[in-house]
Amino acid sequence: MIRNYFKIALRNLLKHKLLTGINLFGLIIGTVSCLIILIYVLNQTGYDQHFDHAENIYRIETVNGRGDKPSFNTATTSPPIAPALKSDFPEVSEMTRIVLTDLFNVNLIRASLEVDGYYEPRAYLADSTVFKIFQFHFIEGSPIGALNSPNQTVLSATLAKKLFGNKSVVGKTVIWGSGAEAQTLTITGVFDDESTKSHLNPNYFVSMTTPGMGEFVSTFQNFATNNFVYSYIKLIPDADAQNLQEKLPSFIQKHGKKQLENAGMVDKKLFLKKITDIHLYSEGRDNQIGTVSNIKYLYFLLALAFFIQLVACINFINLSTARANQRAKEIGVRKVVGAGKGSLIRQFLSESLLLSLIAMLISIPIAILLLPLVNELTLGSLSYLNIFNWKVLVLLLSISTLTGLLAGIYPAIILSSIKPIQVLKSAVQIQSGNGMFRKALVVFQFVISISLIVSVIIITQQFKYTQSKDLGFNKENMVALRAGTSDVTSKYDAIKSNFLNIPGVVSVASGRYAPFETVLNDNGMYLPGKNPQDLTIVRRNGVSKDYFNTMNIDLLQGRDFNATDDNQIIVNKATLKSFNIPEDKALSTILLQTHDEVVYEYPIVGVVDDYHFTTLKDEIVPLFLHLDNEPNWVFVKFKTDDYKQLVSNLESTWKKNIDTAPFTYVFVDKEVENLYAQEQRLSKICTVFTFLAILISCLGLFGLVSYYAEQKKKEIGIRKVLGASVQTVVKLLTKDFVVLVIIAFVIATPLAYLAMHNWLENFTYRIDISVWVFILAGIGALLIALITVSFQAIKAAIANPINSLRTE
Amino acid sequence: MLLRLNQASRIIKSGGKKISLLDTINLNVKEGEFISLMGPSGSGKSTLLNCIGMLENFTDGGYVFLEEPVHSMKERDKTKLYKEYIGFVFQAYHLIDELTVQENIETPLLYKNIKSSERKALVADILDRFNIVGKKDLFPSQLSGGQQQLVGIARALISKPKLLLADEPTGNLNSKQGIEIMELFAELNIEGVTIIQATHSESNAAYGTRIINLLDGKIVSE
Ligand SMILES: Nc1ncnc2c1ncn2[C@@H]1O[C@H](COP(=O)(O)OP(=O)(O)O)[C@@H](O)[C@H]1O
Ligand SMILES: [Mg+2]
Repeated sequence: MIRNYFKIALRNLLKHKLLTGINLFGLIIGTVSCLIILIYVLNQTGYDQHFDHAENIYRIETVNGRGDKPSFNTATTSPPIAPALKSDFPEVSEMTRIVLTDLFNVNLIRASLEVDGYYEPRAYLADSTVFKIFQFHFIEGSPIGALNSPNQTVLSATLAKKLFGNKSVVGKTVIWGSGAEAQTLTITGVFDDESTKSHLNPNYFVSMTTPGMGEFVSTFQNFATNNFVYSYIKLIPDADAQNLQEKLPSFIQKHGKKQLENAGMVDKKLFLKKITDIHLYSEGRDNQIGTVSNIKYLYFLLALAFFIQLVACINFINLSTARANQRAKEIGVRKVVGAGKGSLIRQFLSESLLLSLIAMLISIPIAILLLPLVNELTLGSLSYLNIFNWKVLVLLLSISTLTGLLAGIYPAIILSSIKPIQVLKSAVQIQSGNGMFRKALVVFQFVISISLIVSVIIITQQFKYTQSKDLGFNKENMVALRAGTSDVTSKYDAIKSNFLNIPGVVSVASGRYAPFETVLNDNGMYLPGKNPQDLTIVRRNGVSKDYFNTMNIDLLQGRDFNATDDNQIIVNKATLKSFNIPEDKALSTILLQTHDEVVYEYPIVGVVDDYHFTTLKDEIVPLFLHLDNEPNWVFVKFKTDDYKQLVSNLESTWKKNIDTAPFTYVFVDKEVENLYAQEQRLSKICTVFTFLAILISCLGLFGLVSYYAEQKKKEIGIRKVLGASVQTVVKLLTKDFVVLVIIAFVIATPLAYLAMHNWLENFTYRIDISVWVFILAGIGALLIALITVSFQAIKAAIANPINSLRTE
Repeated sequence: MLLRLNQASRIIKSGGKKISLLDTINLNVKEGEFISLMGPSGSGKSTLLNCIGMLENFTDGGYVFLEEPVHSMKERDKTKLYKEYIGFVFQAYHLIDELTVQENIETPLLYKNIKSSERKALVADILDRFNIVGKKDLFPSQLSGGQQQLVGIARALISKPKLLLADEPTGNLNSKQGIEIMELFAELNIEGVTIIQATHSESNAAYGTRIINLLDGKIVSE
């Protein structure tokens, strides 16, 4: 029986090539979208689950409300918290801490003093217990005791190969840092860093007890400040995490009441976060150790896939019910010779199933071909292996089956309800399904299409806006050179004057943070005579003389730094506002900071205009700049079109002066644009899906109109014989569809407005949603629909009426 | 007795008016009869056949088929009944265009859940009997009208019905083809199949063992 169903289904599909083509095309696009998004989403799930008892491992995170001031909300904690948790609570069986050293230095690493080094980020200072909680696969050496002593390091296989080639490296040493801060580290192991799904993405580990930052963290005992340590605990099996969570407020008060008060952090709260949740559920928690995704983004993609597939299903439903007339005879006859409703439903379902399964088979190779494009769009690394995975294939099969059933069930019920007698009396026109229902589905398709058009326009506008917004500094024509070694510090003046001799170089400056980096350092400051516990958090960046004119930042009052400055600071306008300092009093104001009971004074010597030193998603917050001669970056402003020559001149000058730090550079404007890469990707993804949704909807419309034109052939013929013009006939056929698109527009407008309004809330600096966007989207959809419909309508209208009348 | 109609009527409402398509029909049909329904166009022949075939319902009166009261049956049971005992032949053949000759004939067996091997055998027999073995893989559009009607009859007979209902089976055929079909009916009747056919033609009606004349939904003479 099933074979018979499929045989007939196949013949039917082949017989109605246009309809089959439209349906198949839509379903293939839908299924390819589903498949790609499915493997992408699956690829984004399951992070950190491979660690032993991952469900018992938690990261401690910190939220600190500061009264009416913006709270901070970070994935990190103060250094002593994790060890104290372990000693206080029996259910905590293990703890480890990680410090991402990238925040403090540039991580220059060399195999020996004689060879060139590399800037290698993602260096983790880690407690010796790190491998007890996080199992890494060691290719060389052993995790046991690997970080027990100071100055030990465990390298990733990639880094080991980069530094030493294919040689065995355990027991060898590397030099980490430069000048007086250089440390010799002994390699105790090499781990495999290929494709492990973890929020941790270490390049190398260094033992926490190593002198410097690690030693500081190991011995620091303040529970309030220095919240930059990633703290992990592992609970014993069956421990009640909720219960532990409830004990944390008293825990932090017990250890750090006084310290919290001194730091103005009385509201500091600790939270346990399952490590398996970190990758997808970290929204709102700053300072992640690596890049994290967002479950909302995945839901958004899944919704897109769902809608595309739905639009394709609607085509199938509409076209199948629309041509019920053509199938009515077959149905009637089958019933007369004994077919029950059930068997007819099964027959029609097998048709839609066959179609969706064919679409599935075709979609697999197409998806594989598209993967490189997808990877470019999502910065992913998906391969065909992600598809040929039983989980994906089972899900794909289920999706296709569901699609087939969803698309087929309504037409099946409609078609199988046709009474044989209606058909056998021939001349009767079958009222197949509800015309209203079909219209509603067309409206639905266009609601989706119009909403997507609106979204694409707005997302693109916002993206363009972030690209073109005046950031308060000039990012064009500037390279940033990686510095950060003691060598660069001591030879900065020489480099600068040498650079200025290069043709095309306009000015040179240096700084701790580049304009495309988020300034994380901050000081809690207060005004003289005010409560030292009522702190205002002021971000801090150290820069050189000439920083402001190199960046084209407006110095509104006062002066640039000079060589004798020490604690003198230049602040932005937001700082004045935050402290309520009148503009004319700014240069006579001193800001204070208390550290270990010592009060430090910071006299303001200049005020700069507010410029965007973080992304446009954030508001401009108070910032002060101080003179700093240990830069991480050297900025070179140039005026030349010959970038190649410029860079090669810079490089040879650099190499003449510096032998510890490699020459690496980036273009500042490129890096700033990269800050909005996610929005750019989103706008590209949306554009692709919008195009697909419109394409499928229009194909459906095309099919429907062809069908109506066919059905009304006789009516059109008679009208023309009676003298109707081509125009009136075209109008007859298109009028209904135009009305549907207009209804869709009315429904889509508020939906799209709400969704986009919501999305724009993510940005502090954002565009206003203009009415024109909706008008444009509406007219666009209408035009596309009109072109689609009139193509068929005109064809029907100009046909010679005699032909259609004679065939009757 | 194969079937009994007792004061059977079919009355429908059209535009607020009641129209009587069939009016108090009394009819007994014994197994082995070959009845010809005659009457002008619009006299109710098709309606009567459809009602007997349970594709339409009498709105009044009694209809008993093989001692089962059809008038009080649920739709589902009626379907079961006619699937089992009744075969239809139509003026317009009503073959399924997408199926080959062989598949068209096989279709009723599919709905009776007969095993594939048995189906093949039954279809082969009937193809042989009707001399259309050579045409078995052709589609209806590739056959002449007479050949299509042969297939239609073969399809009606494949499930061995007790009653064959034929609505103007030769209406679309030329006279030579018509005669062939009528001779086939006579032969089937001799083999024991009860036949009721509707026809305009006196000569076709003459093949029957009993002629019933209809006018305006009433039996006017026998
Ligand atoms: N559903 C219906 N509604 C209204 N009139 C009908 C309907 N079905 C049949 N008729 C009418 O009933 C009469 C009998 O039709 P029919 O049984 O087809 O006659 P015949 O087959 O003898 O030509 C005709 O006048 C026809 O128009
Ligand atoms: Mg008739």
